[in-house]
Amino acid sequence: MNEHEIPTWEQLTAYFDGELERDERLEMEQLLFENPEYAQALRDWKELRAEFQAIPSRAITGVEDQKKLSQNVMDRIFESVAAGEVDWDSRPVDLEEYYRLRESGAACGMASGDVGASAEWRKDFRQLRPEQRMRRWNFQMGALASVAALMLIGLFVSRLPKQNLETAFQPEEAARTEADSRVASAEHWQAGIGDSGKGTGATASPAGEAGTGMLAKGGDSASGSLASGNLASKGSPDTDQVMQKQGTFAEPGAALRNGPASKAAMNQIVDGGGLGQESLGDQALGDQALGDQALGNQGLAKAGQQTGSRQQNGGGFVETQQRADADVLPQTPAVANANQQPEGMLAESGLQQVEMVLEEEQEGFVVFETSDMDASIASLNQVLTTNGFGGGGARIDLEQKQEVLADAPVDRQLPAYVVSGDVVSVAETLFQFKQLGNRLLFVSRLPPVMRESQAEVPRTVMTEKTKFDLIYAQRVEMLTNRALGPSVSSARELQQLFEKDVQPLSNPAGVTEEVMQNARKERVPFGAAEGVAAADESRQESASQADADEGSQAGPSSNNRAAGLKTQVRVLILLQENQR
Amino acid sequence: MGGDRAAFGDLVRRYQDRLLSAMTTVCGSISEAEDVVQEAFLQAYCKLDSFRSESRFYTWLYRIAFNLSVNLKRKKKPSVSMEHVRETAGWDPESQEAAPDHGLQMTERSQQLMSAISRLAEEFRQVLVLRELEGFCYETISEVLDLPIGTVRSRLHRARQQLRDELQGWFAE
Repeated sequence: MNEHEIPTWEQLTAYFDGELERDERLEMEQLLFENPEYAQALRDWKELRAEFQAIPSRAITGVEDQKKLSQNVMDRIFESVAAGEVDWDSRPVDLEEYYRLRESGAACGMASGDVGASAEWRKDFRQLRPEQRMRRWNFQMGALASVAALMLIGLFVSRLPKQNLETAFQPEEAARTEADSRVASAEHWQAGIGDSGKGTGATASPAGEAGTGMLAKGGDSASGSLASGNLASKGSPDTDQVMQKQGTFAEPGAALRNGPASKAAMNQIVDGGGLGQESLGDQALGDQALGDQALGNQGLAKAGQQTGSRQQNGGGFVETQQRADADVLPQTPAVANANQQPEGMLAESGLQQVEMVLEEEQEGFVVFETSDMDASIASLNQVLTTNGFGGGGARIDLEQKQEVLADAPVDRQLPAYVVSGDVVSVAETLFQFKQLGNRLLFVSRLPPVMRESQAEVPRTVMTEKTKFDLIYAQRVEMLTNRALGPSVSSARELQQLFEKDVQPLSNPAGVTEEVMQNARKERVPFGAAEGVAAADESRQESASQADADEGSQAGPSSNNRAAGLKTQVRVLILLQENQR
Repeated sequence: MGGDRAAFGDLVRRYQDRLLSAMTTVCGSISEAEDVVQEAFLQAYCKLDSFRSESRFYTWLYRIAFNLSVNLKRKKKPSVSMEHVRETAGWDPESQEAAPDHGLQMTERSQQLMSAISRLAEEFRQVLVLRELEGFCYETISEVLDLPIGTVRSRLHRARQQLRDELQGWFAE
């Protein structure tokens, strides 16, 4: 064997271990046929392997030693716990952090779905006419302009006298806006305009409106800088981190991040007018950036109706209804809708996101939350038609999973599908829609854990991997929350609850055997769809319990218990998976 | 905590043999392997919330144990001598005699094989154990050892070739 042959010998090793691709394997088989030296080596290695397997696996230790070892291990564990070396408080299970970490794996978690359909759609996309591509380009340039506008706004705000910001809100208004801000933090898909104008009766100037319209778009965009624009207007607790990480708007953003103050500043700027004009400079650019003017106006008008602000629609102002319940906490349908992405914006930026997914050749689903499926479908179809696709999404109702699969209009040329239902249901049936990889999914409800993750990651690509992670995280959280409730007071009860609730992987959605095997390999249990509602319900119960605990100054012990339970749930999941 | 203890106890019982077998080969000594396994389970328990479902539990546990064994070896340099193996493992890697204890009913060839493995350079022994005894795929080995897959393949090849050279007499028979 000379040096030149080493790669071939290594190939032979890989062949022996079954680690070669088909082509390489065929090549190696040819080499084996031609070269007796390789063939002899292969025979020798096989003999070695047989000898390896003949080594008794339990030969090293006897039964007594086994018992002793496990006893020692358990003794050491509980000595450590007793000695305080295992500090539950120091390692709280933080689902947000958990999911944040998981997201980094999402990008490389490739689904093994049918890529043929994706390839077709990608090909179509690349065959867009130059003017269509130009439209996209203009859209992106417009988005960049909006970022520039935001920076100018931020700069302007940072130079405003502090007193102005403080006096801009009356106490009751401030309280209301603070509540708005809480909702804004909870709701991820939120337009900048929905935030800035909400409940304040602000009047948007034409130019300002264009600017804020752009913000709305930016809020949904996959671009990191645009996402920053969205977050900057949200005043979410996560914003600081994101802004710092992205290094965008470092100083101006600081002014914008402060919830009520930022809103006041935004309103002042918008009321003052002209800034949007200055920053955008070219009204035509703004129009182009909005992509489809009608869609843009639709989105703005919708936001205007919901927020009680005055918005310009085309040639003139549309006086929209002032919010009658201005003094009511904003957890009303109208405000909740305002916190959603305006539908027109959602569709177009959704398309852009799909585009990015396709460009990166990722497998997965881009998931959007929408409160209005029909509007989403309609606006998406409009955008798709504008871009030469001649049609758009089809609605798949998860309520009729099996029937839909049989009769689904699964046209592989369609770039987007709309799936109603909560994301857990979507996840559980996602395999069924495998051939829809690289598609948009709209879900009617995004679970908080996913929404929170989207605060960090501008877009969510849901792969098989993230699906499992999501289900796993939710199950752990849900069971822990339930166990924290009054019905469960002992580890035994938790185990009973677990056995009752966590079914071994069944086949509720008619998934294929291959999928089942993958699922088992991933070892993430899921069975009967429990949905987010149950998790939310128990979370609320848990929150109530936590509040009660806080009231009785029992917070730390409650935290300890939650952390302990969470660990226990994980152990139970592992055990169940291992029993399979 | 009672539930934790019982549940985790099941996990310990389920994996301790396999892990101990693997670690004995990696460490070259049963007593060291036992220490490593105990410590690995303890760390696994404490870090259970950092376990990501992206890898199998055993792979994760193995990696903890493996890292512990590496750290132990670093602390104990020079590495385990044959004398030490003889004393602690109860069998002589260089001897043809069967090990006296621990229910070892190894064939002569198995003993020769173990002996040959113990003479491999550590980096080769690691990949060989993971592949042949643990049955890990290249990807998992690369994850456990934190090595590129190409390196795993290269080391495996060299380990097999060395082992083949060491045991040349077998194949001539």
